[in-house]
Amino acid sequence: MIQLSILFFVLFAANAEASTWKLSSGSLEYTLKHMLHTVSGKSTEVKGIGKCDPKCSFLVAAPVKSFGSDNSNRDSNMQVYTKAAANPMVELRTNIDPSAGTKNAEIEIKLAGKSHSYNVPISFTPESGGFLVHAIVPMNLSDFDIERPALLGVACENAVPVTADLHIQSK
Amino acid sequence: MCSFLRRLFLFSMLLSFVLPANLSRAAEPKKVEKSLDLSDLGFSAETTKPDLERQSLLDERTHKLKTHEILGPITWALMTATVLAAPDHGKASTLHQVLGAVTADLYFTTAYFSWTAPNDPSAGATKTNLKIHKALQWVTLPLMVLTPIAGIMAQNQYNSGQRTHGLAKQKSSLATALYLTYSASFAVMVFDF
Repeated sequence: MIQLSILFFVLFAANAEASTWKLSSGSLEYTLKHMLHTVSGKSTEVKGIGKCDPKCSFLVAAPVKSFGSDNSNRDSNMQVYTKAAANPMVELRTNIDPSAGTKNAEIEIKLAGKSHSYNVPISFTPESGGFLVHAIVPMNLSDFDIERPALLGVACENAVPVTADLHIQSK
Repeated sequence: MCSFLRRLFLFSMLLSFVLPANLSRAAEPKKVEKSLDLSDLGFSAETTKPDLERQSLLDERTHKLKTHEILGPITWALMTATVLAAPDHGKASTLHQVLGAVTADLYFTTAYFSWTAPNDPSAGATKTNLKIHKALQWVTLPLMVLTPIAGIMAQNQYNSGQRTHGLAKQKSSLATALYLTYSASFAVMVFDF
């Protein structure tokens, strides 16, 4: 009887730990600053998934060409600088346990065929069936060996912060 | 004594192996586990597949448009110099003629790089300032053809002792219109709105 109870407890505990999360909607937005302009490009074609068993692992991705800045020439240039046709996806990975509040976690970004990790605060705001996840990743172009675009001979700033606003739902 | 030295040697050897490894581990950021794959997200294979042919098309497009962006301001600077070197009345100076010829050459070279840049079929919406920039070429292009012709005609008429007439008489108006529209075309690309 005791053995059966232990087995039941172990199975129940294991089941309680395992959870799957799915991104219902969200956006990724970069901001690029130049002496004359501040440009932002946004993608809502973001997909994501998370699994906790028991350690949590999240993957969020978007096609690089889905980032739009209201200027087709600039978007086309952005795809050249980020080598988007050869590396069509931008990927964000993290191992964080989703629970209300803000906590620091490592986010690994894969872009232009290169990966770089950032330790950033990630906030989880409870909403029906899940969380609104918000994070700002202090990305630098040089972290991905991306050449800084220039206008009139003046290069853009190296810092290109990326804001992630993601709605995740427990499955 | 000998055993103490032996122990000290072994301890220092142990430290030399362990300490650097620990220090380097502390400097490294924590690794993010990659148990999930891109294929788990449900993107189509077409979306996630690298397209090297398109990459080379984009590279060519950017190379040509970058050259266009460099030559455009140089053309504007030369056009400004040509306007400043223009005579009030009478015969044009050699400087004005040379600057005018170089400006016209550079204008068409600049335009060539824009016209021959391959289109990006997957490009999104075009912003208003770019639409204006593209539309203004239909004003600057005929003016860039007519102004030098009018200039040459005016020079010939002046040299043969005639009063300027016909298209030559419109030379100043054409040049002013060209300078203003080209400046506007340049300005809309510099100042975003």
